Amino acid sequence: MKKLIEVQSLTKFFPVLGGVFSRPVGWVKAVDNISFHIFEGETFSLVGETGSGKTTTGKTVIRLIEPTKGKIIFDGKDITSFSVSEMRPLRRSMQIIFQDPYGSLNPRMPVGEIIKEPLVVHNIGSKKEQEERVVEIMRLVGLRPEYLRRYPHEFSGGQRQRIGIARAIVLNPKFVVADEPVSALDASIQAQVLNLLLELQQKLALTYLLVAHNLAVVRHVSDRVGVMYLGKLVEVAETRELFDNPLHPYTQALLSAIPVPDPDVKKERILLQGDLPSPINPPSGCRFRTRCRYAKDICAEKEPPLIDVGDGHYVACHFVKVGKKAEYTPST
Amino acid sequence: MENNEILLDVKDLQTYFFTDDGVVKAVDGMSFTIRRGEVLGLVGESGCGKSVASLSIMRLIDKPGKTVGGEILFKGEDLLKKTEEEMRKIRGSEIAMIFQEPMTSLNPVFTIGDQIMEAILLHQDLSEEEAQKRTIELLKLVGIPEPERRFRQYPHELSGGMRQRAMIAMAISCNPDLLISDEATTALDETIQAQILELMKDLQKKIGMAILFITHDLALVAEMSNNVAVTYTGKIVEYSDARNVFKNPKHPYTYGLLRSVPNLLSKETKVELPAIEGMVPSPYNMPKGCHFSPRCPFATDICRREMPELEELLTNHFVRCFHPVEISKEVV
Repeated sequence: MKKLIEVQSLTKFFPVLGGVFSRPVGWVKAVDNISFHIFEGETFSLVGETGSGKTTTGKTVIRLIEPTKGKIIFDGKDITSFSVSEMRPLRRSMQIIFQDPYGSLNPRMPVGEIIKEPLVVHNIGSKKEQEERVVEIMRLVGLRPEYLRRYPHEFSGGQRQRIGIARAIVLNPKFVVADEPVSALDASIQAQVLNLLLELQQKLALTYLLVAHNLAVVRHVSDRVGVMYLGKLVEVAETRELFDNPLHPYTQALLSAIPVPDPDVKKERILLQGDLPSPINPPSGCRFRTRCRYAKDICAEKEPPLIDVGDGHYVACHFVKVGKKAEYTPST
Repeated sequence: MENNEILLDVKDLQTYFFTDDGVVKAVDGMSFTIRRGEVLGLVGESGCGKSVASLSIMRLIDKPGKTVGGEILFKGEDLLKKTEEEMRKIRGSEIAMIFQEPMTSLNPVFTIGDQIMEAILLHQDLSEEEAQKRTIELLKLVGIPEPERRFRQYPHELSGGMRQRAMIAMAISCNPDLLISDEATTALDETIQAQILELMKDLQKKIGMAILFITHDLALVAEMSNNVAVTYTGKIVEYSDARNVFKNPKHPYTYGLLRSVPNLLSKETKVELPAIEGMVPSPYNMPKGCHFSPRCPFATDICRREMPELEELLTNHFVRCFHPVEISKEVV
């Protein structure tokens, strides 16, 4: 399988400004030295809790945020140091869908204009062709073309998310970052939008990077999943493998925390102690050690590398051995 | 403890909002009961009236809203007939409430300790010193580490999970008989949500309080509740114990919702979800007959003409539908 995206040692620190001269007095280590790849045509998901760096990663991959360090290879080209004008033609093939369907659409622009704007910006086609394309895309995402002249406030949340999706795919991109695309939507609307995303992926051969915290949704739509904790990638595996056989103690706790709609299932819950530490001053060694029930001295001293334990299942934990995932015995 | 005693008996509650654009029947004839020590889950999408129902019980509905009909019998006495003075004594001491966003429900200029102490001093005959001791005990009870230090801290110094714990400490400070939890864990991360849910279950057992558990998340209800009421457009459409509702849903809305929301137990992934079509109707433009009929795959002429009553279809299983889902289909 061809890798469409390859991310190497990606790092993003945000400065914490302080003092009279607003100098950096510290750094928020939002994303700290992570590497992963995304195959062409697949859905790769990043999961994790607030502050884990998943959204920053998603935005950095398409250079909406500039990385502090690291390399981003898109379709064989190292785009990390591309200038704005070099990026422009590439922008057509990478798009993003945002979480908030209320805040991400210009309220003063009719829907037809919103969807057409990328075509105008990139100067694609004649006026007539652009208008035809808008109608075609509206039909594709399940919006009635006669609503072309309506404004965003006249649409419901689910329909607005369809507008956001239409705008993202109008340029026929290869790669779409979907940042929490359904978490602001009501339960009965979520399924409609998820179905649309799956359908578009098949029809247009899209590659998705999905950023989400709802693990049930992630399990449903993803091919592979990466779990993030405090700016680090702690586990990556194929979806089924990750959910059936989670190896990192954090992934195990995260999965056990999800309620299931069946009163007969009594889940054995792994309760994590305390809260997420500050990303400004993360724990030494393994960042999860302060909440990990298996933590030992080595976890504070050495940072565990992300290692392949077989079949593309990667884990960053001192107690998981290479090629021997069955022998995971982190007890005292 | 008299386990079977009915604590709260809501009969045909109607709370309407009289707006310039028309009357919104936010709660339109809801009836439900909660026995001592029991958890009732009130579940529905945004705009189904679940929060308005809880605010009606607390008599916290403001203009243009008004509770125009029904009875709210709490320990046999109708709360709607109480004076404001009498209600103030009940609120906080006998019925307590926790909300979704603990930051906006806590006063930012008072310390956590002061705010919890205020409730204790208001409702209980304790000296300041005793109240302080009790507050620290409560902080310990809800699992806040270093309670003496936290006592003197301000809300912004606490994390989201800690704030929600402080809110719970405040809510249970006077040993209420009923706790209303309105989306109390929605804004929290999964692992923190798990901590708070365990805490609520634990406290419910320890001090024997009943909980009205309001949420949009079906899976959470399955986990927390004895009984479940599913609401749609201000009416209860299905009402029974949790097993019946989740294992044998009879209302097409409940059935559709359970099938369409991805969950960790579903066998197939990356397939089209059986989504419910359309969306919740506008409160200003309710369809004739059954409000779910425009989205219902089983709807016939009678559904579009008349609103069905909530009837006992099976023992202790109430459904508001002319064509309840017949066969017990495997849902999850």
